[in-house]
Amino acid sequence: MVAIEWNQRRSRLNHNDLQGTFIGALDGQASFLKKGVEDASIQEAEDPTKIRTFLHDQFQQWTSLHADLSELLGQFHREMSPRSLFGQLLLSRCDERTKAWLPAVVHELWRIRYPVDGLIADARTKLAAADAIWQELKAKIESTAGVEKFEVFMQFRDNIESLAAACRALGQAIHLLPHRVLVT
Amino acid sequence: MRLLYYNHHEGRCPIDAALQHACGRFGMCRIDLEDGCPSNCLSEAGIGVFHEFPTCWYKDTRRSLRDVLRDRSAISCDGFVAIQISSGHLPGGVEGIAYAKACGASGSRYLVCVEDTVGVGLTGDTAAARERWRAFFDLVLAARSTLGQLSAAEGKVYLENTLDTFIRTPREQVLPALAILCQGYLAVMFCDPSSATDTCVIEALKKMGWVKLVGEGLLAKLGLKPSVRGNRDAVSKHDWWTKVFGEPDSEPDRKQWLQSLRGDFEREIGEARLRLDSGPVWELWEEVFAQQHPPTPALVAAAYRALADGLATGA
Repeated sequence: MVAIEWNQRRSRLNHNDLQGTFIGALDGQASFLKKGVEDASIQEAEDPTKIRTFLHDQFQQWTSLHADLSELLGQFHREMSPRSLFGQLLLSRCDERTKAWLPAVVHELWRIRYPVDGLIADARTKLAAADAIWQELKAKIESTAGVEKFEVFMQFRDNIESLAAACRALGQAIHLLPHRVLVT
Repeated sequence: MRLLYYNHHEGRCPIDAALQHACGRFGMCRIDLEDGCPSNCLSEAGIGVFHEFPTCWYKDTRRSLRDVLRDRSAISCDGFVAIQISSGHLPGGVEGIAYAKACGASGSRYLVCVEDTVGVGLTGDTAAARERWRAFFDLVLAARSTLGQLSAAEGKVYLENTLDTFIRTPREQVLPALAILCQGYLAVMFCDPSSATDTCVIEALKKMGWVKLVGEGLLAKLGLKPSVRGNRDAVSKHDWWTKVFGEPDSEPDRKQWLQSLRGDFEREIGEARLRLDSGPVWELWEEVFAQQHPPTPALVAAAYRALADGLATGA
């Protein structure tokens, strides 16, 4: 049984927003900075303020993405547990007395059969790791405010690559979460 | 565009919070039909959502929404789609059966009935319900732009085809529901798993995680032990199982229901035929659903094991 809504949100956030847009942009920027290290003409041609603007935009995206992904992970147990099936037909027809115990039992059995708690914890850890890298990068960039030189931005390349790698690991962890409501 | 919204059961079934989030793109106009004629609002709206039982539409005349749509010349905009929703308990015998259909078209006005908002995920102020409404309106908006180019009859068919899969309760539901009831039954009957002697039952209890759950003391820790233990009589009655699948009270209705439900089981078993050993499931079916006998632990355990194997690898 597929939980359409949660999976749709996962697909949009993980595949489209995180892996498609955000990581793609970070990769592009890291690659550009790498080329700048190797080719001085790129440094001369590029307006450094554009790099800062780009990073600023990415940070805004991350803030929003981080909140959305955090919410997505927070909703997993509620929406992907077989307990959620008691809110819809057919199991919504269970009498009230049964609803007092069966959803809870089914939920606990699901947690025992599948490593869902561990998978969510892992995804949360990876989200926190990505966020920590972002915080570090943000602090570095803020400390250089007003110094619009290419060589200043080049020193952020490692952090940008680390952030992209952390986001890839996060994307993989989110992908590993079950794609349907597992009832047995 | 404006969205007309009327909820006769606002106190009992508040759904407008999720709806409001989902229709931010529209101007939303709330009406209270009991206070007056809605024609002014109707003429300005492109979509109407009416949370309503048909007989309550006009308190005095008891006309259905379909009749109103047919009559009101004030509803002049092309492709006006009225969505009549209820929470799955319409009077008139369709209670509980999750289905929806575009059941009326009059001129350029269309009436879509969603007769079970719970079943199709449109109820409640949750992120999921908001997403569901949003997706629903996307479909309706896309349909509206097409409806203007179609005749009323063509438009009705078009709406049916467009919305049908969305507003039907998702398929593949009888086997998962049965699997969950099997777990509940076995949990109650073997609150103490060490009391099981039948090998098939022991295997089923292990497979569903019950042995581990009880062994780790989680049942007691969660305070579930008394409520589980106290249900032996309830789960032993056939109607604890059959009511979940909508068993009607009267015998003629029951025959029809049984036939329809058998069709659902056959379809889902057919879809899982490569993985599912259907024998034990049909044995349980015959005993509990067809014969209305109480189930036995061995029968339930065998059915659960078959379902667990069959559904665990399903798509």
